[in-house]
Amino acid sequence: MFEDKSFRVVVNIAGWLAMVFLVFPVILTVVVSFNGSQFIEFPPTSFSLDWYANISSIHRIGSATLISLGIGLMAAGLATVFAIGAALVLVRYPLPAKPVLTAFLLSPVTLPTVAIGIALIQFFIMLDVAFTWYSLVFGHIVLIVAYPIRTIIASLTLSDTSLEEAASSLGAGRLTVFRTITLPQLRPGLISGFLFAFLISFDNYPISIFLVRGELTTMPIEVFNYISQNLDPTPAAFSTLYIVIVSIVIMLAERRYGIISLAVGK
Amino acid sequence: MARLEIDSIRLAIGENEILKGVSLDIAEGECVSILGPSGCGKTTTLRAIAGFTTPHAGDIRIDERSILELPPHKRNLGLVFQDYALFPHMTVTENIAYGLVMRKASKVDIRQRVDQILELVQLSDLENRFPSEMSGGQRQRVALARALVIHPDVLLLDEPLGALDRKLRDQMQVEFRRIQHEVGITTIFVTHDQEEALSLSDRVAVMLDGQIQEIGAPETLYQSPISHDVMTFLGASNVLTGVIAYDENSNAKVECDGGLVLKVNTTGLKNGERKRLGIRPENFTISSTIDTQVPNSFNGTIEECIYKGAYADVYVRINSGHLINVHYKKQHGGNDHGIAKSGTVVIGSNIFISVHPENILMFT
Amino acid sequence: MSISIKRGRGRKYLPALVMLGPLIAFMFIFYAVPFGNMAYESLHSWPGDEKPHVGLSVFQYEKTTQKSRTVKSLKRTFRISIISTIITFIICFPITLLLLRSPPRIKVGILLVTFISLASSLIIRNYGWLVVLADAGPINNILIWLKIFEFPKRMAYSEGAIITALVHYCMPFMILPIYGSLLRIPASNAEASLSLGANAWTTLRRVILPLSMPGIFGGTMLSFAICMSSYVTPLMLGSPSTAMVSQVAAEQIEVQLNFPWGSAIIITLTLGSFLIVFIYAALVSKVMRVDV
Repeated sequence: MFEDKSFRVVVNIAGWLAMVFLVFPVILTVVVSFNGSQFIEFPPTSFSLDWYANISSIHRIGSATLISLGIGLMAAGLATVFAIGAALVLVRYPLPAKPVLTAFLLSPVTLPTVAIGIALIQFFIMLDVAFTWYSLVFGHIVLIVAYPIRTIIASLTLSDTSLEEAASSLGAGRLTVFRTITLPQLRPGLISGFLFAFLISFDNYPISIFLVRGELTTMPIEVFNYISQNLDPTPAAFSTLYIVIVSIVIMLAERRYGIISLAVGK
Repeated sequence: MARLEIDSIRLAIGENEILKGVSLDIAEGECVSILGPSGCGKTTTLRAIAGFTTPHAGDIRIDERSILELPPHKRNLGLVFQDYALFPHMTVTENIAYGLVMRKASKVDIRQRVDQILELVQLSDLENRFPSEMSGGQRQRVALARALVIHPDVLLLDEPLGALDRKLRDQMQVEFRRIQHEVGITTIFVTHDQEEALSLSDRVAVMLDGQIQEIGAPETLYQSPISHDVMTFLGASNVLTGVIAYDENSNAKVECDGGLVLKVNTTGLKNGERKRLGIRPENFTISSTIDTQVPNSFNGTIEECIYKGAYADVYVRINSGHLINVHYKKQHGGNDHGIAKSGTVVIGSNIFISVHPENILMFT
Repeated sequence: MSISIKRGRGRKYLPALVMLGPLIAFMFIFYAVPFGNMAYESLHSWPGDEKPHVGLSVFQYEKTTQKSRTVKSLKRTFRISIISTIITFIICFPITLLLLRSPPRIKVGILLVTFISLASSLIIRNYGWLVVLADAGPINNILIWLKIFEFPKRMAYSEGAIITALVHYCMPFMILPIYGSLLRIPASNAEASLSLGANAWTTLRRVILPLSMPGIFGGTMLSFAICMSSYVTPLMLGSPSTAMVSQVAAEQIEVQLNFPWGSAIIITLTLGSFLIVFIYAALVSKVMRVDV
């Protein structure tokens, strides 16, 4: 695009250095997770898989991960179902005050996450439902619902309404059109919206920390606690596993549904 | 004002050779169009001149000096893009002044030249508008003004009228010709629109499959193309194949399948040689009776008639079995050649068509 | 459709209400009401206050703007957010240009890395910085090897560490919108600029940069909002002396159980951050003539 030598050199150097910055901590975490030392050190001195075996010593890591999974799946699932209807209305149907409604529904993303936590814990204490699993699910939905709404709106804007008109002219009823034409076109938006909603819920700390107590605990809270109380590289082993799994999920989602092109536009 | 020489440039992307040795010589002040279907390499040629892509072989020269080593911003060419590429965040004045600012012209000078060019393209009252506030035709003029104001050596246009609707396009054709004459600048433009190429340029270069097939004045190119491909690409044509034969008076004729025999005027043909013939539909005449004075007169039946406004496309199945496309224009004074009733051609009527030998073009 | 219009205005909106209604109701109950409740709470007094009062007052807000701990943390939060956002922009813009001029395979690779880091846990990414900045970590070892330090220096648990991690966290949020808006600029715009005699740098400054303003605004705004509300990052990479506002508010709620003041602090942060974003948007749309 810009055929100019000095420009090309500067962009290449600056761009690749920035990419190194982006992946540097990840690569280092992976390296450290295989190091034998009791402490974090680089360059590594010996090879060991001890820290992977030691993951189980993170307090309640198993049950906490299961709870995070359950909360994440429920919150992301409900948020995505809510978001389908909402996005359809916001893109396709006549309704007064649409910009205001859209801004309202998308606003939780721009608020301090701690504010949502503080507001909700007071509210749940008032209703006497604090520290229940469902109040945690509700709290997470508030935070994550904006993501599927956004991605589904993006999918809808890209989708072609004439396909639906063609289907109904061929004799399909409203529900059939929705099921056979609209929904398949929305699939990339649904998948990436659900995926990000789930990952954000799964990773959330600032809201969960206010809404959990006792047996109700989540993965990020337990990992955080372990990191703040121990100096050994066990979290590095856990992080490596986490990053590997997330990478596989993202790559599969990209290969099957092209979530990247949806996020940046064609 | 300058002379532009494109000297057998070649360009390949991977295995795919896009330009297969393109040469074109454009004289000072001349306006040449490169005409071809999409994918023939015409836009690539233009981009190579502008410096956005580099040919692997060959040379491009302006006034004898090679410009291949120069980056785009040092080539001093005026470019008009297909989508106009007006800067959406700048006003008309700012858009036009851009190139002058880059050339470090003084403020007074810039103002004067912008005003002058705005007058030339008749947009003086819109100088403070943004591109989004203007019509397609107005944007096109701004794009032209922006390219011309820097006094480029050569003006390059990429499908300049392609984005306009038919009526506006006709207006802009006249306008464009006026401006081009007034400025007298060496111009090269690429288009896939034959009418645009034939009406706007001094010479037309027909480009097919990465090569310039033929170049010539619009009329010559249309009336007597040398290559069969150019004939079929430019306008409609009837193409027949046949074998050369000479009669007892050594008059040349071509014997086609189905017993169709055409007299031709061309000389220097070998007996028994196989040739392709091309005849333009408008070179046929239609009548209801046979005129024995006219050579190449054939009897046939009208199979289809498509009304085109100024004329009608009539398809005649002649007795040899060939389907011939003939243009039919209703004549003044009631002479409708007996084939039409109340202005419409009757399908199925029996008629005669004829063509003068000199209107039959011959290709290998 | 035509039938429902005939039956009156209410019917026209019926399908919209059925589909959107549940979410609006949910968000009203679990979002709008709790925030209203929190705002109401912030106007009350706390039993432990020096002079507890009955009824409503702006006492907690006065306290927020007077106590040195909250004032300092507000200033620090603002400073860290501005610095992090600017650094993030400077680091990410070359990546977006690199994306623009890379062949498809490299492009997809860069975008995948960006997405994976976007999807990786914040706690895990912060942990990565704890590793990098550790006493026996690579940075310290390189600096000792280069003989810049004699002994390892404590680099984690500082404002610099917080900024580094925040920049890292914000990068995907900066890259994606800017790259998106760069993609929407027709290539012919840059080519037109070059053909008119501008070199690549001038073209970048006068054409590409102004036209990518919507994406730059989106990315910087998002980064700024993320930094302003950051909580986990200063908790992991900072110290008590580098506390940011969310931490101070959370401390009041969790440790002191001072709900009124904690609410007032977090509302102050929210409003402050909204105000700044609003002023920024107004400036951008006015100066750059871009709709944002």
